[in-house]
Amino acid sequence: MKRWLTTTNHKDVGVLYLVTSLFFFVAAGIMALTIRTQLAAPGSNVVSQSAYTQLVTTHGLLMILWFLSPFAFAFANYFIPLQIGARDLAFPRLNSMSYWFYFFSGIAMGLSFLIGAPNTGWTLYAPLTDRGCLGGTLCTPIGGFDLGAVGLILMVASITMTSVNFIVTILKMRAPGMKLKFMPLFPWAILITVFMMLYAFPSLLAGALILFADRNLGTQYFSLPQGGFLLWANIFWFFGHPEVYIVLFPAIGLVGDILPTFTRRPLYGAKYIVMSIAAAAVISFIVWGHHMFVTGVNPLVTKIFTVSTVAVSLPFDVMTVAMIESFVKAKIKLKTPALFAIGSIALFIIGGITGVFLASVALDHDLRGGYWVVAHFHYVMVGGSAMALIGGLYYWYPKVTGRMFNERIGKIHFALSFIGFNLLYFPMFFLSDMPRRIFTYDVTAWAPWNGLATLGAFIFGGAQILLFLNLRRSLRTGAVAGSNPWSGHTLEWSIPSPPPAYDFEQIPRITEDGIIHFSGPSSAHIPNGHSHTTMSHLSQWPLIIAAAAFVFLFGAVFHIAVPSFTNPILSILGLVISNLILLVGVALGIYALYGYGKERFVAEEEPGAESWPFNHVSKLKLGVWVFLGSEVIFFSVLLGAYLFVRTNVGTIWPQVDTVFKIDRGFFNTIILLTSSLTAVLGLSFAKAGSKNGLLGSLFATLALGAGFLINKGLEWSELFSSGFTFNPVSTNLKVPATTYFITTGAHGIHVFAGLVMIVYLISKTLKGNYLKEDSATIEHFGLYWHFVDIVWIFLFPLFYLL
Amino acid sequence: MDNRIYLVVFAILVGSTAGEVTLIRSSLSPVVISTIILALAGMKAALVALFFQHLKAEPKALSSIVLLALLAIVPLLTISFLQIPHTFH
Repeated sequence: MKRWLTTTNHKDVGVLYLVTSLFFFVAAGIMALTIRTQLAAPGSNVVSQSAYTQLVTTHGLLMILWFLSPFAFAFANYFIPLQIGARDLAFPRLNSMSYWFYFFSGIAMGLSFLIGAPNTGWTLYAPLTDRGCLGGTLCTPIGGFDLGAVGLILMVASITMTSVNFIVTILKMRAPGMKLKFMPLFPWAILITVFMMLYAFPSLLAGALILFADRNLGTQYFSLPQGGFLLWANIFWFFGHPEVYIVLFPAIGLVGDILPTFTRRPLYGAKYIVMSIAAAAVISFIVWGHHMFVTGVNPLVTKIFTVSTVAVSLPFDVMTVAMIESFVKAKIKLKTPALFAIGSIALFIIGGITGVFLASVALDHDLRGGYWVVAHFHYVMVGGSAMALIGGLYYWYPKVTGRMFNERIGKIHFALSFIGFNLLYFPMFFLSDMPRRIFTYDVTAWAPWNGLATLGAFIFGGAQILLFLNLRRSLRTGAVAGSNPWSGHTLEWSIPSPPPAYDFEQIPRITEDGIIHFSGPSSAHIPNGHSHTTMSHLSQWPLIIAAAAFVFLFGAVFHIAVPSFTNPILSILGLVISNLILLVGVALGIYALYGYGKERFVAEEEPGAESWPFNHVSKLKLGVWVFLGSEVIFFSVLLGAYLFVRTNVGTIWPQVDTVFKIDRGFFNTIILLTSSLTAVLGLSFAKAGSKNGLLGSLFATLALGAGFLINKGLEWSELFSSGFTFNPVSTNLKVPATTYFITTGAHGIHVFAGLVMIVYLISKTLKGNYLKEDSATIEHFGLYWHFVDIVWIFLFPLFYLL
Repeated sequence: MDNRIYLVVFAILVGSTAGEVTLIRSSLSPVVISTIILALAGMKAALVALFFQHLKAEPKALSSIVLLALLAIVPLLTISFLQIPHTFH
């Protein structure tokens, strides 16, 4: 048990992801069956309307965010290092932390479902989710909904850590000779996917935080009468549409690995498939508006999004045609993984084609609200993605367990899944006139199609029992797999099944002709060669840090919910308990971060690793820059929200130098700019080996950063006293107050985090660290600190001067 | 990198910040003032990135991670304004 709680090994973490994601698959699947039972016949009352809307919302969120993506990243965790010839991911502890944040985000969602889940659909449209009801009150209950938001926030934290880790791993840790052109399709798909995750999810994070503030602090972004709902739709769908491809691309990569193995010929046009995935990834960031055709937006914008939406379908045409071409003259071995891969291509084609209809504004107007859309996106998400991922589970099962599964049961599983899936979703194309957000109906013409769909749902759901039984039973009774049961050509098949803890006995080397050689020192001499029994690579801190974040945020939601208690004794008790939970969260966080920092954990860079185009950039530095890439999006979305609401409310904005005093802003700008100078001079002192110089610079940076925060605190205090709050004396000031406090508050939290880092750096410098060749950490801190400075460089003119 | 360069960059940063404040009190039109001030902010950000964060000396691929993020966000920041229905104004 201790191993599973403290492991940092990528294969263990992969197994943890696999088991947890399959748990959510079952949970969300049971919800789906309940939904289908409710809809099987007209006038049904299996569940109440309220329960139905909660089920639909939670089903959608769980399937997309807690099942499909983590299921794909279970494989990515396990197999990316194996496929690129590395012994682990770049940052093993961070990887473990990603998992635990995901785990606790799932607990938050589970609790939310138990006490009253979000009931607005997975799109969480504002102002329904905001204070959009009469008198500016909340339309959705406090507690369950906010806990769901906590789940989303923890999930985005997990995803950001995952993105950083995989980008650095794939770009910096490929085996010698493993040039990008030699990488199999799965690592390529994961690389593009994690870049999309890096740039898409901060938008959701910013949106979730703003929504949380709107609901609980009284800010007014999404309930703003002048377009607040459009702001949410933009922020959500900027994340939401790329998310569809984030879910899909790993599956396409997997199919691209399965097909060559079972067609026994190279993937047709592999290079063009990679280019198509990349092209679709880029275009996916400019198609979000097709989800907003009926929101009354400017017709010019709808034209732009029609064109971009049609354009994004073209790379998918290339991918599917190339994959179909791979079958030409191939001697196909129709084993279970191949059946699922082929099935997923067929279903994806239907899902893709039916989606192109929605690019047309006219067709979208009629189709978007009905079951056509439900059928379309399930053909993409379940047919295109989940079926391929299940194929991947069969494909790699022998490698992970060392055992073969029962092929006959596997084929029956495929047949039932394929038939059940089509029975479930194809009838929905004939229900395009049935609204997709009603919990019951009285139109008898819809009944046969709904009945058929429900029958299909139970066949599809029931078929999955075969999957679990087969895989469970084969763990003990399956034939021994050997290292390469499918005659695969990628690197993972060159090592034993299951792989040893350290992956490769000797580091693989790939020559120009694509042949793999094994040479170099044996695993015993390699620092990254994990062993499950070696304490040096077990760490409890990732789990404790994630637990602390969960406890703190849970306490915050509890605290927020207390005023809604009607019993005065319960109110007092609730306040005391929620404060205690908050304190425990903070204390646990400080303790865990201290332990994490103090722990000696080495994940050295493999010598000779292929790392173009980052040959002379260290793993850590690349990791920091990748993280800053996500921060750019986060702050840009916050600034975009500010610009959006300011543009819409127009003339009510306060005059320059009336509310936000220029002198105060100018003074703070100079303080922060000076702190950037002292930080960069500190690096010079560190490189020169001057301990006193470094200490002086760090103390100066600390003092300046603290000065900035104190000055900011004083300014906030004065503004509050003058009535400039979220509920100001003059209602005209509500929106300026909203944007000012939220944006500068987010920046202030970043400054505070920087100060915590400086305290840590000072404590280590006092012990003689970070001098000369050891100065990289000072540089990495500086990258963060300067970024925080850059953000303020924009905040100052936007709030104080314009 | 030479410490003198850091000092020069710092001087430009402080000077241009003072310039922003001076500009806001000038009699130029608000559009001109806004354009110049935002351009100055962009220049200051670039200076910090190039010299304090040393992007000038790093491989271009490193800068591209941040540039890609900026590229990704530009459509959101521009198209969302085009969407605003005229009824709001």
